Amino acid sequence: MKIKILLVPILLLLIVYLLVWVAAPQFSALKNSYNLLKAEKNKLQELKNKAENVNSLVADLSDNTEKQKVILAYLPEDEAAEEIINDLNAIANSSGVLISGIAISPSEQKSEPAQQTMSSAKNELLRGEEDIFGGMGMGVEMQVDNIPNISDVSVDFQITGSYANVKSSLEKLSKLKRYNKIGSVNITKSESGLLETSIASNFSYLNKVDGIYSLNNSIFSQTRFNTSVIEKINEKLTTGIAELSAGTAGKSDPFAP
Amino acid sequence: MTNINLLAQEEHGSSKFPFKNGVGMVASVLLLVVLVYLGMIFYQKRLDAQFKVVNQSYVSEHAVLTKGSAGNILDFQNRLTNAEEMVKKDDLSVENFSQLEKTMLAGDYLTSYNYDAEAKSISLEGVASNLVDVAKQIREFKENEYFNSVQIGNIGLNESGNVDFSISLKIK
Repeated sequence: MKIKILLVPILLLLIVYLLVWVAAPQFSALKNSYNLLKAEKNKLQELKNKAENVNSLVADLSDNTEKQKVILAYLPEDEAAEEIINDLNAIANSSGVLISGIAISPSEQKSEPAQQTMSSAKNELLRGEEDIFGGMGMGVEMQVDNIPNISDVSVDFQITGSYANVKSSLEKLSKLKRYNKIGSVNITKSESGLLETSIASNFSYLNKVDGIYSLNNSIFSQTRFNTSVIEKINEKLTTGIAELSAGTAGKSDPFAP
Repeated sequence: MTNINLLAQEEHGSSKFPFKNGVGMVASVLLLVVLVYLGMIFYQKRLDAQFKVVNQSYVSEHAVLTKGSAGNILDFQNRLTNAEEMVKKDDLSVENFSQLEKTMLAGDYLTSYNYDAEAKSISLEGVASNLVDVAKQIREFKENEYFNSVQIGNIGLNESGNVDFSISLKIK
């Protein structure tokens, strides 16, 4: 009789306990898992869309090999000092000036990157948030893409020639299809009447992207490249890059003239 | 003889109608709560398993993409982005000459020219036949809208009797 009287309150207490301390937390965890799954499915779908975009972009790249050449000539992957010398020589020859000296100084990293996924230039290994399994957030190492910045190589050279020829060579240099910025021009008139000209220019280059870890760049949301800048380069710059042919290597006495 | 019912009303009722005393009802609710809880655990496991499958697909597809051609795409885009700003920059070194050609007086000539692109300045040294020509030359520079400011430097007679002058110009 007494047990029967106590049974109902005990059961009620048990129900309350189960609801508050067992079922409710479980429901909360369930809701969290559901949301995580939904978010992961969305991410996977987004990745699949990006994969389709990557395929379209690869096809776009293959269709535009000429444009690739233009942009690689405008911004080479390294200093390419030999090409600078060859180009200056070609400009001097075609303008009728004499080059009396060239000095190429070490490259200098520019401070402002055009685009970078995060501020650090070096790759940093970042750990994702812990997921419901206590492991990596998405199972992907969150490394930062190392997108190279523009670098400069400083070129100082001296030319001698008439005013018209010096002007012509400066014009050709400023319209060279490789990016360079003339920093200073110093001219002194010699006794012979020719102009001894010293020109300082910065030639730029851009290292190749050596690997990526994320697909966060906005290009992966597009299906085609916007190559309008290449048309601008072709319109504005008319001095072609001089062809540098391979020499004949191999000599028994390297000191022999 | 009168019949006396010795059973309490509740006990009498419970024997016939088990839910009426509440125990059965409460027990049913308890059972329901337990069943719902077990259902939630089962569903949670299903969700976790699905998450693992989706996550593994994501990881493998991500790896395929980042190790594939995506690097070349990003490299090309990086060049395009940088070139966009660079191609807009104008070089004044040739235009400077055109402006000097317009401005120099027929009787005057330059002996030295120093152009600083960053400072947008030109320092000139020249020779004129006389002081009036130097004055006229200065006025010509001042009237040329290409130049922002004209600063006169040293002016003096040279050995041949002409006038040497120096001028600093700022480009607009």
